[in-house]
Amino acid sequence: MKRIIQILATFIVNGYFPAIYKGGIYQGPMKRVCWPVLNCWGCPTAMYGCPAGGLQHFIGLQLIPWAVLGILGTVGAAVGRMACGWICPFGLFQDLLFKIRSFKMRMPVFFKFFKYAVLVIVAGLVVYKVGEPWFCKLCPDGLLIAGFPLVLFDKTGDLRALIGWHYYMKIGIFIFIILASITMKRFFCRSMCIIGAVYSVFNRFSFTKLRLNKDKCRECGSCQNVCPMDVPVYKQQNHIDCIRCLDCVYKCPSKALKYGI
Amino acid sequence: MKRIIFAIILAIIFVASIIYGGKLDQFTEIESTGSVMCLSCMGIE
Repeated sequence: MKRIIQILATFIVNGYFPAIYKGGIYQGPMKRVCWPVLNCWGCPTAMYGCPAGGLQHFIGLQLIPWAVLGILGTVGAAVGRMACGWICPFGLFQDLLFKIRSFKMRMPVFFKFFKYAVLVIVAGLVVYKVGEPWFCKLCPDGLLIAGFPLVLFDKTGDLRALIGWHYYMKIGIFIFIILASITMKRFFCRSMCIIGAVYSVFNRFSFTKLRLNKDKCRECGSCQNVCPMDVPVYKQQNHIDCIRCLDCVYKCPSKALKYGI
Repeated sequence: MKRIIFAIILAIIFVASIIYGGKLDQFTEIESTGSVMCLSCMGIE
């Protein structure tokens, strides 16, 4: 069920298919709406705005991003980080990467604080100072959904002529994230995503949350094993990294977890 | 109960933030910025 919704969301948010054969980019009223997860808005098939791009756009203009903060805050206050688990295309991409059979390891704990540094320094202070969206310049999503296909199918060669150090740097970051996501669960979401960093603050206070029936819980650890964010749910139900995908609720052998108000 | 009331108050504040952003034409600004192919987002410039 979750996978179907993730796939549907990916196609809804990147649903401007004429861009693939006609070129150009979607320009319409839907772009006013920020899809509440990471999805590059400057890419041809994108139908909605990207909150990461929106935040940086207004910070770069030295304005408070009221609308984007409002969207993220409303979603966060209602369901915490749930959007990351159900409707994020880049989250789906990482979930699929982790299914590749390979050596697996747990992400070192200090990495989970790295996303807050990225939010404050790269998407905040640097953008405020230089006026350019530096998180977007480093974000692997833009390369995945636009940079690669556009360069690959570039008939005129105009785009290929513009490739330089920035493109290769992005490829380097992208390869690093792919390798990390194959070996560690949702590496980008847990360590670098600024939208996840914003939502994570709301997990403890959100309207809906996970609850554990301690009498039923046997601390078998199956919740952590199935969790795409590697959260030890039996110890902490509303951890900053919990994306409320509810895998733990459905797969708990003693049915000790519940999600609700 | 406290948490639910807090979450509702937070949501009201953020909905007000969306409305205020709308009054400042921030949604139009988002539309116009997002309607341009962002080459630097793709790593091409």
